[in-house]
Amino acid sequence: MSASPTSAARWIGTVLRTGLAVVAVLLVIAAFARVAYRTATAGEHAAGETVLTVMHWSGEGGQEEDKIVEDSLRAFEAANPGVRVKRLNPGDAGSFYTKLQTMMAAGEAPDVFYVGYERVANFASLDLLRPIDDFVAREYAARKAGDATALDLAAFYPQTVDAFRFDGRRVGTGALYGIPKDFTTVGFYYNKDLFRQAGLAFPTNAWTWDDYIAAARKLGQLPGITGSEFVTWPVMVRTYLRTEGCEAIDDNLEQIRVAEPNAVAALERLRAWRHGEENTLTSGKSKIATGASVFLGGKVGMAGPFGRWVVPSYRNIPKPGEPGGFEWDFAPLPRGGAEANCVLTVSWSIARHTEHPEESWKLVKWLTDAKSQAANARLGLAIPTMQSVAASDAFLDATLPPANNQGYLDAIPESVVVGWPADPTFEQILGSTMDQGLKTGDLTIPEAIAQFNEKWDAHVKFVPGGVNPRPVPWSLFAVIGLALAGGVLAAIAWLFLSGTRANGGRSNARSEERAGFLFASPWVIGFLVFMAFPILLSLVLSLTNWKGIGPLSGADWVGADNYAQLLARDGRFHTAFKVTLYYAAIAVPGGQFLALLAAVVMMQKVRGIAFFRAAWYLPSVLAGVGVSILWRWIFDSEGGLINRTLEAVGIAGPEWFGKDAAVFGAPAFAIMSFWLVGGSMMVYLAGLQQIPRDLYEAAEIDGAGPVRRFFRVTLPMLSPVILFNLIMAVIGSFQVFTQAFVMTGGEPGDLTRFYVLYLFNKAFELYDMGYASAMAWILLAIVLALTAVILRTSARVVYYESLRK
Amino acid sequence: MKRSPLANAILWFVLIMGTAAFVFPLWWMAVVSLETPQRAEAAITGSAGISLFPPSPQFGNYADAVRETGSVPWMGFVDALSNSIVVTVLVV
Repeated sequence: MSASPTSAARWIGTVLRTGLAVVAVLLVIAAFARVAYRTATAGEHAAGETVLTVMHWSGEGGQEEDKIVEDSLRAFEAANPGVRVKRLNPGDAGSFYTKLQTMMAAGEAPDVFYVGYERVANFASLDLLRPIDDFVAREYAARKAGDATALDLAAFYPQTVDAFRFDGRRVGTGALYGIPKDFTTVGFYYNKDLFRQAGLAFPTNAWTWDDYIAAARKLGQLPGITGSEFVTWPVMVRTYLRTEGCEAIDDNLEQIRVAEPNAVAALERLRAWRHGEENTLTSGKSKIATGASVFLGGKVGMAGPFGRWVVPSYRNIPKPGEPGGFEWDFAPLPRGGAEANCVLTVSWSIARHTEHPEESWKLVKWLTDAKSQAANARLGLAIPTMQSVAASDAFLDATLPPANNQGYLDAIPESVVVGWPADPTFEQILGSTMDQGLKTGDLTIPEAIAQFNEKWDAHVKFVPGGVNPRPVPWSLFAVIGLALAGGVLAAIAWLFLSGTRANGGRSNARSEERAGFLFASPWVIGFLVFMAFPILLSLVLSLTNWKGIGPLSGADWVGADNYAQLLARDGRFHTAFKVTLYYAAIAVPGGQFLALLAAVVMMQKVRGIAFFRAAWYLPSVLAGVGVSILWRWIFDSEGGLINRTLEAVGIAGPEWFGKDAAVFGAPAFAIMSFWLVGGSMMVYLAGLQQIPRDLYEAAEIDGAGPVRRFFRVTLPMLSPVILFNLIMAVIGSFQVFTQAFVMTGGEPGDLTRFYVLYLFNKAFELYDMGYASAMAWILLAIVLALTAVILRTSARVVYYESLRK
Repeated sequence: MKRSPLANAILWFVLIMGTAAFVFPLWWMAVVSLETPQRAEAAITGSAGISLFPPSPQFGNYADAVRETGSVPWMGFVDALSNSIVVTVLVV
C-alpha cells in the first residue's frame, strides 16, 4: 500500500461500513419480529372452531399442486363454516414422510394426509391409519336413500381402491385405509423424432418386449444415442416379471420367488441388455439419472418404466424445430408372455387418533370428489381415480402431449396393486440387491438372489427381545435420571458453597464467584435438558425396540439384542462400516496431506496471496446440500465435469456411482472432500504462522536446506496442529451423511451407504429407532477408540512447545 | 529469501491451477443457474454441452427460486431467512 487513502475514500468506507451494520441490525430485528409473529399467530383460532391439520407433498407437481390443494381447502372452509384447515407441505415425498413420522411420534399427527400405496401395509400395521369402512358404509346407505352427493366407491377404478385395503398381512383385501386421489399405470416414454430417424414404427399399446428391445438396439445404432433408459426399482422389476408370467413374491409375502427358472431367465435377459450390449440400455448411472431427466436431452430413445408423474416436466420439452425440441409420446409397458401393469397410487387418509373423525372424513370426501380430481388431472401429473373424470376432457386433453392418454387407461384392466410386506426392509433389501444384479452388474442374478435371501433371513430371524418381550422399566430409568440430575445440581451447589468458603468470605470475590455461576447456569441447565437428557434417552432407547413412529409406551425392552444383531449378523451394517472405512482411509490422509500442502503454498509471499487464500477457502463456507448437488453433476458418468475432462485427455472415466461404484463410489466422496480442505488449510496456516522465524534463521545458518528445514523445524513445530486436524478429520469421516444422502442415497446397492446414512435409513425409513440408537452408540465407541489410539501412538511424535520442561 | 525463477514458476502454476480447481465448479454452478431449464437439464445429464457464458442469461431464475421457496409465494423465503438469522444470532 504505497498511496494512503484520501479522506474522501475513507469517508465512503465509513459510510459503507455503517450502512452495512445498520442493514444487518435491521435484518436481525425483522427476522426476530417475523418469527415471533409467526409463533404468536400459529395457534390462533376462534372459539368453537374445529381446526383440521392437513399434510401433503408436492414433489413433481411443484407449486401448481400446492396451489390446487390450497384452493381446494379454502373452498372447503367456505362450504363448511366453523371448520378451519391448517395446511402443511414439507416439500417432496421424502421430507413429507420424515415430518409425518416426527409428528406421529410426538402424538400430533395431522388429521388428514397423503399416503402412498407402498406405505399402507406398514402404516396400517403400526396402527397409524383410521379404517374408514364405517364411513363408506354410511355413504353407501345414503346413496341408496337417494343422496346424490354421497361417495360412491363403485365410481372409482377398483384396483386403486383395493390398493388401500389391508387385512393385517396383505394389501388388496381387508379394511379400507384411504380414498385414492389419483394413480398411474406405467410404460415407456419415447422420442418420436429418433424413432423416425431410425426408421422405426411407433410402439402400439400392444407391443411386446421383443419389439421393445429391437427398437432399443436400432436406436442405439444412431450416432450418440442410447436406446433406452430402464429403471430397475423394485416395483418395476416386479411388474416386469409379471409380464413374463412370474410373481416376484409368494402369496404370503414372506419369500421372494425370483429364484424360479423363468424369473431368473427374464432377469438375466434384462441384465444382458444392459451389460452385454453397447448403447442398448443406459447404464444406471448416478442418482440424478434414475429420474426421468435423461430423456429430456433428446439423446435417449425411450425412458421408463415411468408413470404419469414425469408428464409435467416433459411438457417443458420444446416443440420440434425449436432448439433442443422433439416430439414424444407414451406407450404402456410392453408385453411378454403375459399382459401386466401396475397401479401406483396415493390416497387421502385419516390419522388413527384424530380428534375430529367426522370433519376429517368430510374433508377426504371433498378432496377426492370429481371437482378436485378434475383440477388435479389438468396438472397432468396423474390419472383421476374416478372413472368418469378419467374419461373426461380434464384428463384426455388433446391439446397437450402425450397424445396417447388412452395408453394409460388401456393398461388398467391388466393392472394390479403391488403389495409389499408390512416391513419396508423387504423392499429396500430387494432394491439394493437387484441393483447389484441389474444396475452395476457386479453380481449375477443368482448371486443377487442369494444375497437377498441371506440379508432378509438375517433380518426376519431377528426378533429383538424374543417372542414375549418385557416392558421397558421406565420408572427405574426415571429414578436413575433424576438421581444423576440431582447429583449434578448437588455438585454445582457444593462448588458454589465451598468456593465461597475457600475465598475466606471476601465479599468481592464471593460476588464475583456468584456472578460466574449465575452466568454459567443457563448453559448448564440447557446442557442438562437439551443435551444430557436426549443422549441418555438414546442410550435407553438402544436397549428397546421403539419404532420412532408411535409413543414411547409402545416400546419393549430388548436388552442387548440390537447390539448383538448389529455386530454379529447385520450384513448391511458391515457393508456400511466397510464403505465408511474405505472412505476414511482415503479422505483422512489425502485430505490432511493436501491441506498441509495448501497451507505451505499459502505461506509464500506472493502478490495477491489474500485472494488465493479466499478462493481456496471459498468452497468450505458453502452449504452442504447445494455443494452435494453440484458434485452429483461433476461425477455424472457421461456429462460430468470430471469424466469430460478425463475424456479430453484420452482416459475413459469410471461410472462413479454406476457399475464401477464398488471401487470408485467411496473414493468419489473422498475426492469431493478434498475440495473442502479449506477449513483444515486455515488451521494449518494459523499453525505455520505461529512458528517463530528465528528457528528457521538458526536452521539456515546451520546449513539446512528448505526440505530439511521443513522436516526438522516445520513438521515438529506443527505436530500438535496436525494431531488436532487428524482427529477432527477422523471424526468427520465417520459422520458423512449429507453428501451421500443427496448424491446417491446409498445406491447403487449399498455401495455408498455410509454408516450414518444407514443409521438414518433405519431410524426414519425402516422405523427402527431403537436399532438406530444402538448404531449411534457403536459409532461413538468407534470414534472414541480411534481417537484414543491416535492420542496414544502420537504421544512420542507430537511436540508441545509450551510443555517443554 | 529470494525464490529461484523455477520455484517461482512452479508456485504460480500451483496457485493458478489450484484456484481453477476450487473455483471452476462454482463458476459452473453459476452458469447453470442462469440457463433455461431445458439447457440446464441437458447439460447436467450429459446429453449436451454448456457454454462458459450463458447466451441468454435467465436472471429470472433467481426471482423464481426466491418466490417458490415454501408454500406461500415470497413469504416462504422470508420465513426461511428469518429462521436462519434467529438461529445464527442465538447460537453466536
